[in-house]
Amino acid sequence: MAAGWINKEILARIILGVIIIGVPLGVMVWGESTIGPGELIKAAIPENGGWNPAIIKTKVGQTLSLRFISEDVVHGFAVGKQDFPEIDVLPGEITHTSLVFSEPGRYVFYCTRWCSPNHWRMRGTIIVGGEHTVEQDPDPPLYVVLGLDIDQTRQTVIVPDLNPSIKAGQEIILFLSKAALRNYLDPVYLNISSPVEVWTSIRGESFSDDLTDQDIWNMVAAIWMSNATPESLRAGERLYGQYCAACHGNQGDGAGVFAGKYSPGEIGSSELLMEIRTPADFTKSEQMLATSSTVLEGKILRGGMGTGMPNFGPILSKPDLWALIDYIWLFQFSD
Amino acid sequence: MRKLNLLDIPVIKTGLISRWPQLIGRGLALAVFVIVIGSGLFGTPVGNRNLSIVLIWIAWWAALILILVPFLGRSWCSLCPLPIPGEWIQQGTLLGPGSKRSGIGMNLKWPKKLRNIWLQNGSFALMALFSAVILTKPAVTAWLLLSMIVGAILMSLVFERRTFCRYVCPVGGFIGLYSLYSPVELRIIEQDTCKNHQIKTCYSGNENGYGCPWNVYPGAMQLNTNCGACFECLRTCPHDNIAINIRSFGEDLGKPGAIKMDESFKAILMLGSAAVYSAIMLGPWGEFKSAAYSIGEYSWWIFAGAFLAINFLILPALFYLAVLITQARTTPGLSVLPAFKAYSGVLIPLGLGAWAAFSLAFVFTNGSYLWGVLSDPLGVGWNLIGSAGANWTPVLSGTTPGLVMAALLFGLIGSGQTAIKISWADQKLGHPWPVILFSFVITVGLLWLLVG
Repeated sequence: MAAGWINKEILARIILGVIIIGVPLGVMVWGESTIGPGELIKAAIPENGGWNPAIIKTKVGQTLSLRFISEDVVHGFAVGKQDFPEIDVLPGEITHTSLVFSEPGRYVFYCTRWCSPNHWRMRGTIIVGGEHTVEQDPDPPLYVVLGLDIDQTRQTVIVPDLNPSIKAGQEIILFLSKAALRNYLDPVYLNISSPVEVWTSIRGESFSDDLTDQDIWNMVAAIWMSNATPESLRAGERLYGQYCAACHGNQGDGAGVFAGKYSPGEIGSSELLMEIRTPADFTKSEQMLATSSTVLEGKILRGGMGTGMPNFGPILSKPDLWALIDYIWLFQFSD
Repeated sequence: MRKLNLLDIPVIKTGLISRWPQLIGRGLALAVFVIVIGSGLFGTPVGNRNLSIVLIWIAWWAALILILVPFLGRSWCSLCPLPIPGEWIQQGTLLGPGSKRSGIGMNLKWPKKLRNIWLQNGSFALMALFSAVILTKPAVTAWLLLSMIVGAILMSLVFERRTFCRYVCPVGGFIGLYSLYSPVELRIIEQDTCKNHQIKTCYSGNENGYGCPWNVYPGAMQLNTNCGACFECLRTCPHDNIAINIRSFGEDLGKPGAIKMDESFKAILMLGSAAVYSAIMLGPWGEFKSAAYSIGEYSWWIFAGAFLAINFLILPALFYLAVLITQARTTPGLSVLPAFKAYSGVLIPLGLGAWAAFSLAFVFTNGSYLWGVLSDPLGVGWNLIGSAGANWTPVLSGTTPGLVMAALLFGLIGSGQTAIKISWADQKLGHPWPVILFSFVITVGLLWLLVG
């Protein structure tokens, strides 16, 4: 009788052990067997770690399968300077994507959603290995070629009373000879000059004797936007909304939803930011009209040293960069 | 009229007396518990994609409030995985004591001063203060469950029987109280049989089973409150004198001494918590929600202070006032406190209705998360049953307000019936209308919070 009871007790313990350990273990093994291909990349706001892992390795021509999951809010995934479609990374949901790189090198992947005030820090690197060595940037940016100090303070007291009008400027230009304006329409000249430099130069021309100061500002506006196309401005508007508006504001006035987060006193010492400075106000004529497109290029590519302004060099392609710069000038020049 | 005794049905009787079904059930519950804790600790921190949050705070909670407690009393306690490891260590065997005792533990008696549910009131209130985080962060839920299971094991090693369940468990307190309303009871059949039974094996145990783990003498049991549905007395009674009866709802309410002061406060705490939860979890007030989430910050302290004040001062004071008015025309000098305790039975159907309404309000909206987490409990990309990609799909959106109103109405009707029953049961109590008015005002308030 006693022996029978012990046997039943042992049997019960075995059954119970199998249930308590076996069921969770079985679920785990079963679960792992249902996982699709690809490395799991977890996304969290930068304050909680950003991308994990932040470095992904692959080889040229190889299909890189990735599975994304967000651990907090909605994030987005994109690879800088590449045409891979952007994907949303949703909380607790797996999103798959596959990438194939044709060139070796280091590619930056980044979050495309404004997930936190430090959203722009949410970046990672895809290292693509290959046979041949990586070619250095064959076409360095203009601000590097010119050796511009992009951090220098630029300010002017010569400002228009009204926002310069592109249309009004175009009407004036119609009555002027093309030869007189040839130098001013040169894209390189326009990129390296500030609007106030162009205005001063035109003011000194004899053909402008009969024009008012505002007329000349209108001309500058027309000249300035002469190389922009409606397509590039639309692309610039989209890029501005995606990358800049959260800090610089939809109206370019430096009052974006995260602008307050970059104000002194808003961020504690434990936060990631170093020197705190409010975002640039693109509507301020005194500063913007003394700035050149090349300076804007440098600021965007390199970022604001020690401020909250991130570097977009690894993310923006050249056409995207210049479309964005064209759009930013619209905060000074009206239609 | 003789009540229907479920043990007259042979398959039920055999199933409950045999330890195997319960053992397998407890084992499975414990296995799920292990998966839940694993999901909480190692799974995604996104609450609605993690099994620990969805299974515990949506599925289990709704099942508990809407089905198990109102219809089956303490049935959950029969399978609850929290005390099981501790109990097995304490008892030393899985299949009953047999002819030898091999458990580990000091088997001390619980201090007399703590033989009430004040600690459970405290533990529930404490949980409620942190609930905004507990209910949304899987890791916090996992640590809470883990700490409860470790606490239960430690208590089993020090104290006798299921002391944790009876005096500490934050859930056990209200399940016991609300089970007074349920239509199922475990009682003895013949009183004389128990009187004549000298050894009282239902309390002390024998070779077939343990003495009541809930420290109750079934022979004298008149209320559901402390019967944990463990069915040990079925196994230890040599005279087959235990019945599991089907009865009418709320039969225990109105019995003399049905509710003690600690239980009165539990009833008030449950009612107040339902209102606060409705405001925070389902209400449109972002500031309340933020305050409840901002643990340790100034706003959270205000929330905590308000929660405690509502539940331990304001609501008790209002209810006291209602009871005071009922007593205004009765014997001068009669203490209000006995009437306060007696009438607090009114708050049980009212609270049950409030919690049912609150649960209905979120279960149809958020229940669809269950399909996703059953397929991918950790939120790491598994697809166990093919429903990992299931989208959030609220169901019965148009019907939910009606169901919520119905639950509140049932609570109010039950409360009114209980008030009348209590006043009839004790002639010294005054007219119940002020207490019914109190229930009505609370119901209207909840209706406004939950339906708008």
